[in-house]
Amino acid sequence: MKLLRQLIFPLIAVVAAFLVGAIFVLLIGDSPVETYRQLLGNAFSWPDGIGYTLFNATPLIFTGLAVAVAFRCGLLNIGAEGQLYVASFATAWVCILFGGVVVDVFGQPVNYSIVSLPAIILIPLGCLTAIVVGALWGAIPGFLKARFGSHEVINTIMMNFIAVALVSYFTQYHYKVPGDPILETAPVGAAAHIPRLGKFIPGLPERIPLNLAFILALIACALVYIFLWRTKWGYEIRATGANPTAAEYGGINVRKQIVLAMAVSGGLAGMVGINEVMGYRYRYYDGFSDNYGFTGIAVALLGRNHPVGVIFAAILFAILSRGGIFVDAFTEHVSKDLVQVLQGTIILFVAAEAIFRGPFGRFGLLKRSKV
Amino acid sequence: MKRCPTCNRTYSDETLSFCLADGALLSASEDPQATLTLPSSQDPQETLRIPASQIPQVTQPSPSAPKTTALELRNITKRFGDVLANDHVTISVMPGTIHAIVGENGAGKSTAMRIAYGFYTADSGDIIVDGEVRDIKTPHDAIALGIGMVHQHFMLVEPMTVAENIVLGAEPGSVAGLDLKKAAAEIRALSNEFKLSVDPNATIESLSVGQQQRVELMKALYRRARLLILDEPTAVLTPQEVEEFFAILRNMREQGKTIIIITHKLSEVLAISDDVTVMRDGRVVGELKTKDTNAAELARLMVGREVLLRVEKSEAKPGDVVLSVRDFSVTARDGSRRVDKVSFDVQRGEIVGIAGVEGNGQTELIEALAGLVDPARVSGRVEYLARDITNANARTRKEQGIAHVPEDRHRRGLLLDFNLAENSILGIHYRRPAVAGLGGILLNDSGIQKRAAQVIKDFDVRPPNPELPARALSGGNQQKLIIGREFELEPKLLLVSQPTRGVDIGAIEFIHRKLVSLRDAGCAVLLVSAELEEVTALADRLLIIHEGRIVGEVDPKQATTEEIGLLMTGGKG
Amino acid sequence: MRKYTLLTFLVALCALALVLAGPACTTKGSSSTDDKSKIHVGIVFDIGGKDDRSFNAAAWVGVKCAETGKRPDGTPCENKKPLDIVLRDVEPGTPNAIEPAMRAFAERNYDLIIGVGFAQAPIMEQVAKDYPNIRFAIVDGVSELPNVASLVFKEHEGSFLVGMLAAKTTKSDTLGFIGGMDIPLIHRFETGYEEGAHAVNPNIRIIQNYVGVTDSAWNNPGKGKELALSQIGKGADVIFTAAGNSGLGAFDAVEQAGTTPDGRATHFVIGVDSDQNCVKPGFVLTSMVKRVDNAVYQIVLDVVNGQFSGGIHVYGLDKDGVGYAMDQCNQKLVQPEAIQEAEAAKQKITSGQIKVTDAMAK
Repeated sequence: MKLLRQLIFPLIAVVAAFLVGAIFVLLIGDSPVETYRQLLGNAFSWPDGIGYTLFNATPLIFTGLAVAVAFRCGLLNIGAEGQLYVASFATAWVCILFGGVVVDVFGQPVNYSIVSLPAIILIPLGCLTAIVVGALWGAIPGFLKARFGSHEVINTIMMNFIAVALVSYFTQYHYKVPGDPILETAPVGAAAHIPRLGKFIPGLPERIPLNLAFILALIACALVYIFLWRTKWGYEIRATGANPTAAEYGGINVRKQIVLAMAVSGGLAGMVGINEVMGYRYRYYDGFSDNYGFTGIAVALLGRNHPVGVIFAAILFAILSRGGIFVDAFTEHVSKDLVQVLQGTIILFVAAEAIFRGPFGRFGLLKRSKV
Repeated sequence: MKRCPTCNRTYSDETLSFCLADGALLSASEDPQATLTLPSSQDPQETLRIPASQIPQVTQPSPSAPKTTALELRNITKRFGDVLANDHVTISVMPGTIHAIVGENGAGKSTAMRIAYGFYTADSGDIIVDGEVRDIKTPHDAIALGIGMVHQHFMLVEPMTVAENIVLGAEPGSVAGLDLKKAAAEIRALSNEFKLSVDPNATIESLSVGQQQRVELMKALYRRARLLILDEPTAVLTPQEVEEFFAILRNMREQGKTIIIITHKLSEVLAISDDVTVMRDGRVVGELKTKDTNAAELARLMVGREVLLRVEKSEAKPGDVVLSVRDFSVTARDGSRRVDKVSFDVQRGEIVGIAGVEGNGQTELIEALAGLVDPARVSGRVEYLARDITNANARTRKEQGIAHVPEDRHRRGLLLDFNLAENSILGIHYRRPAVAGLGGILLNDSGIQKRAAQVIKDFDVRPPNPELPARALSGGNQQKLIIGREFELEPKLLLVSQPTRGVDIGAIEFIHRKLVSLRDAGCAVLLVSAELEEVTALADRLLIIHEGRIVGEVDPKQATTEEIGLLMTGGKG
Repeated sequence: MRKYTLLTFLVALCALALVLAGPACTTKGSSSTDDKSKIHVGIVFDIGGKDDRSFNAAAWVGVKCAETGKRPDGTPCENKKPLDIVLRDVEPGTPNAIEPAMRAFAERNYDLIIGVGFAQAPIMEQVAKDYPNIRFAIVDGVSELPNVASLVFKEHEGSFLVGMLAAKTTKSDTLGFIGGMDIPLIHRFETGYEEGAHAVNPNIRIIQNYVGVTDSAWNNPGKGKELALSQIGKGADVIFTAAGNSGLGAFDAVEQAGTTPDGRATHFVIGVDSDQNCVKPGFVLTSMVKRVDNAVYQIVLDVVNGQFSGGIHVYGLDKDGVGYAMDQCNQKLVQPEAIQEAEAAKQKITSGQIKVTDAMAK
């Protein structure tokens, strides 16, 4: 019953959004049934539909978790986008530097590495880099808030700009292979490639980029759950989020929690780099993020800032983002912007629900009366 | 049906009955031969005898003649989900009176009044205004009928002036077309008439809480309210402000206004009201004339059983000094000095009370002693069991046996969205029994549940469900949860602020008993309360604080309220 | 009460769903265009989208002509007959949508999949490997797979000619160049332009700026305008843009710079890729057109005729793959003498007498 109550509003939000979307589709002059068949129907085919959907969901699970953890501490981390960029670049950098990368530049072999580490060292090192660099980038606005009280929303937004410019600069001027028209780094060492799930799952071709990072994402969900609800640290973070003055009263160092929560959040966002660099493109590709950091906010919101909710919300958004391509290609008039309409409407409805019962407890507005 | 205000019997207009000042109910239909005896208006010594059949022709009723009710709720029933908030509630308010509605939290008094004001619609029942059944669906309807309401939480726009706030929403048409000067003049006239002394051009943020409340009153008066509903109006006021406020209310009654006051403070009911309606569990359980009742009877009606209003305690047996405060000062963030070089001791087995008008540094003193103030803003020396703890943080202090019941349970004391079990370990969440496993990282569910069950049982927290969020509890039960949690620490020093604020009478009695028993068990207790009655009843020694300084110490058994009151306001005793 | 509200809401939703589903069912049949006997062409645009009035727009014209014989705006295509194909397009919007879009077409066994933009080359390489029986074409990119046709252009040659026209037009002997993303491909435009200008007058100064280093550099008209205004401030009176959507900002800038009393613009812009002369008539000196439409149409035609061949297809001045655009919008702006000189240079370039530096070949 409790679970049902948790589920009912997100479900209503999604259904309502689809109905609103259907009105738009009708106005544009297509068939909603056909449009939604294209949007959703392609997600469940085996192996491409399911494979790609889960692959697309992977970064959203990470960013959704990132936003959720920060939110549980009462912080709005708008900076997941910047955190994942910096972390992805750093991961690529480490995997190039220690990956024995030799690239052919206009016929000349150029060595980009200082050493060639075996996979058993390089893969954990790459993963660690993603987490640590993301955590550091996230901890900075956390520290600024804890120390100077500057608002994390402003700071994380600013840090996003810095992150994007910084990694673009390093990609462009230091790690791009001369002659490559695309803004991307040299490839990472082959030892840094994490296996695609096609290797282990019969019937799933290896061309589908669904990789070990997806399993990592699920593990991250479990760990985040345990962290938040089963450890004293999680208790302190949640207490800080629920009521910082009461947390302070309970002997909790609120400032420390803010930095910690932002670091954990950043680390989770940074794990997107594992999927992107070590599991998919095998290099850092500038501008790769399809607004993962911002979609993560929507994912967390729809998933009620709970790891399990985040998984489902991430999969839904992944279905939409891939389905949008099919809508764009195979309907007469509707473009993939429909997905944006749907996402926006879902958020609107979810937010509306928060207005109805969020701040006022179980009975919503009615609860406000003392009777 | 109407109720005779003097004899309390019911009658109706159809039966040509009249309720007479001397307590007789005269009914023409019952007895056509009956005659009415009235004092002659020309000569008070003479009496007029009028046959009952002619009574309807009496054109000029004498001042004591029957009146129709100003507001009457008749058989109002309102249900919120599973909760029956109002169960056939009938309340009659006579014009020109102050009518108190009392009851514990959740008794249904606010609901009933919100129905009268159009905030809620009743599931069944009638609202009668000035003798006519009215359909009040929105506050607009209520305002149109001359009903105004002042809420517990003010609805004022801080940066705007008094006049702007008062006019806001009252004038039809655009704000731009308003004649604020005219409105200000009108407000000034109202202010003089009701002795409110509110400057229409002052901004709200520059006003004290008491003045803001008067602005709220003015808002209702400006909208031509004849009947004012006040929801817990004194909750935010200092004792002095309460007095001033009551004077204003009496004055308004003189001017013919009708006032309904919702409260749970018995002393105030007795001080101000003419009539009292007592509610319990959504029902009216008593309708009384204030002059015919007393605090004990009201308390019994409210709680449903006998309540001990006095604190029973034995003589204190003070032991060693537990807390020693020397030249202790606390500075606020804005640089102002809130606590100014105070020095005092608290010994084992005694309750030291701090009395003072709110905002004179009590909050800061207690918070600083609990370690919740940045050490940079604190000076002087605090010793606890002969150890210097001036710069210790909250966690260290708690670990050493200093418990703290904060004054604001929602802001400080509870995590409202956390369940009772999680709240029961706030402050000890990082040590046993709250944690176990992985070197004390993982929370220990069984330990937490055990602790929660203990607190719930020992402190009678209801409903006794540890999975319930703290938000779902009534104020009294929330307070019992906090006090239980802190007592469970077996403290050597208890810092306790406003232990019974907003708590039901039944729970107050309980909390007082627990505080005394903690003292008797050898704990040192430092108590701050805005309720003078409470500190004088509980404390063994009473310190008076004024503008951050301790201006005197009195024996609460000897000192009179006037003496203490004078110290509290800074006058030398 | 709350429960009822919820219930009512749900019922209303269901009712609405039914109402919507009703007409949906009746219209379903009409949208089925999947006639398997026809050649199926899928095109995946660049991030800028097909309405960039530039490079993507040109590709859109090419495939649209192949489908209907008409341009997207409804005007007939000269020299391009409809080829009776089924055409589907995707505007990916983000780099990550490109691969799934290509695969969406590949999975459905499309006969030809066209990728627009060099950024798609590595992705197409992967997808084409997985579907060796499907033909692919990449505009501006290069792949060595046998089932991929690489459609590349000698932008430097076209840029050389517009550089000449600019040099003949300028009064301040200062020209501007605004590139989109700072990449070798755009440097190709820049060097060609420079060489063309210097061929007319070696003393001409050329101010060059790039909008940025990321994908978004193609889509930032605000920045484009800013750069153009600053170049104007430094004296440039003809500005060549090779910056996709960002270039449109420069159009605004020259318009803002105004006209002389006789109505002639004081500053000009040179469009790129598509014929942009009529975007701001009177202010656009000419456009360095890259006939992506021709190249794309040609590759569709090859597939229809069964003559598709992989490898590199180069479109230079010789095949009318690049050039400068003259039409009613800019006739009065360019001096006939300048056109004569440009035509002469064109002859020399095709015959090899003039060698224009290819910045990408360095």
